[in-house]
Amino acid sequence: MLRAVLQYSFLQNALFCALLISACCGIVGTVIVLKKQVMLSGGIAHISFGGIGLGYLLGIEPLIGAFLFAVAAALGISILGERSQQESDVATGIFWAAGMALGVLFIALTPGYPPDMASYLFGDILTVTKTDLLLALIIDFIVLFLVTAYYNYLSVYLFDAEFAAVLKVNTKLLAGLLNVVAALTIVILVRAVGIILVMALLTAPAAVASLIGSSLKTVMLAAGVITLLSCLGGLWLSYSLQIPSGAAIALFAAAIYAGAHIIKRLRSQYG
Amino acid sequence: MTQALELKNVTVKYNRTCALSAVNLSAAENDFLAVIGPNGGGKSTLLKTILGIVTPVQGEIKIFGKNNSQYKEPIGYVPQFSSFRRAFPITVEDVVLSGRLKGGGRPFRRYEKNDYRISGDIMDKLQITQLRRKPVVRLSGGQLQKVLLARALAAEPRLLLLDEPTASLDSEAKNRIYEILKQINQHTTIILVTHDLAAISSYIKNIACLNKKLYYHGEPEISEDIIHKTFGCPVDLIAHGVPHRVLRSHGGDATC
Repeated sequence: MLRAVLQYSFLQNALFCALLISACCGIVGTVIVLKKQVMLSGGIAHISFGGIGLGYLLGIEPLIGAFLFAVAAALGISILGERSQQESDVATGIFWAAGMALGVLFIALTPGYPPDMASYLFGDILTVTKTDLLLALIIDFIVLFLVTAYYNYLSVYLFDAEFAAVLKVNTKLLAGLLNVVAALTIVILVRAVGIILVMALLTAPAAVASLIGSSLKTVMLAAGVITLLSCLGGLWLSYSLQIPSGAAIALFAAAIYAGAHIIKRLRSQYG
Repeated sequence: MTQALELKNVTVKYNRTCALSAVNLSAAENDFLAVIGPNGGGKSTLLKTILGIVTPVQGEIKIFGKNNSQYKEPIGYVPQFSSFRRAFPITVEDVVLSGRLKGGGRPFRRYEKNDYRISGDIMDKLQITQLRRKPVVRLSGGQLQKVLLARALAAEPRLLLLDEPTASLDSEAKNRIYEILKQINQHTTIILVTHDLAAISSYIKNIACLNKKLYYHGEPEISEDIIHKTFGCPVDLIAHGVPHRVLRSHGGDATC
């Protein structure tokens, strides 16, 4: 496989992409898992499908449409979430379905042959372009900057939001910002593993990392490394078994999660 | 003399439900005030209103003579156990240090020498220094309560609010917390809320009885009648013979 990597630029792009998404995915995944916002991130991923459809209908880059839809949804859901948990849960579910439905509608309205949507649903890291890589790099930069600049505030907010409010930290702004950053990350992940499989990369590495890490920093770092391992392992599986890359990456991440839990069980029983 | 805390006619509503009704309450500097009342009687709401997390529909709150929205000094706050995630990757030292943070969100705010020194002193005082590197998940109830107290004290507040600080602690741990609070009380005004009458120690200087309305405020000598009004039912007034009993004994055994 090594020789193939050196030979084919699409494989090089795929590896770069894996490296870039690991950074933002590790950080955002950790926030999502610790804040118990898995449902919300699934919602945002599916809403972005509406934006992809709109992109095709208007003849603009579908990923731009996905960004717009995802960010708008993230802001909408965080405003609703201030009112009540239940309301935001229901809203997420409705946004989820409506976003997918809009995507299907927009694509049906697009003149000419319908585009192949499978790569957005199940992802294709092997077809990422230089533009995709650039977008991933920008998102990494934003996420890393915010996390390093506000690390201590983020840590206290995620641990005890009420105490953060007592310290007069602007928790509403922080929650909104986190949702927007999550939306950006989710869209770039959609490109790599697809809307349906995005949940695997957002949850499994962070969940495994939280078994290992003793601080927010170490959990984020470990989640990033595990994301990278999942991507590399998935790519290798996909290459050697000739199976779709998105599915292989998602299954690899799920396998790491299962493995970690089996080890944890065994250690608590016999350790 | 300016009062440490002054509430005038404070009313709080959640949607249409009334949580606090025209509450007047004050605490002098270095007071140790226990607010008692049943669950759902608005005790936590009272603290959150003082902290500015909950906005009253009516009334005025003054902290050391300043409106609570204008009061920029830190206020110490020890929340209930249930209000946060225990299974969070954070060490004891980082929790205590986080009390040193201030709002405003200055980017790249790192803990400085001063922050470490003050948190270190407080951890020494509360005898939790040896737990410094432990993740909070692995603490006992009593240890966690001390960590939360240390976090609140790290801001060096002049006013300390505690929400059920001794719930879920055994009596030995309770006594230790009260011993610490007594020391802190020498230069800090303390307001503590609890539904557990047995949790009240002799260190408390004043008592307020709250069940949406304020039923009593003053010396810790209250009658069965006031307890009855506050709790809506007769309550066994503190286990008899317990050393920290502060309520006057009464004839006959009352049960709910």
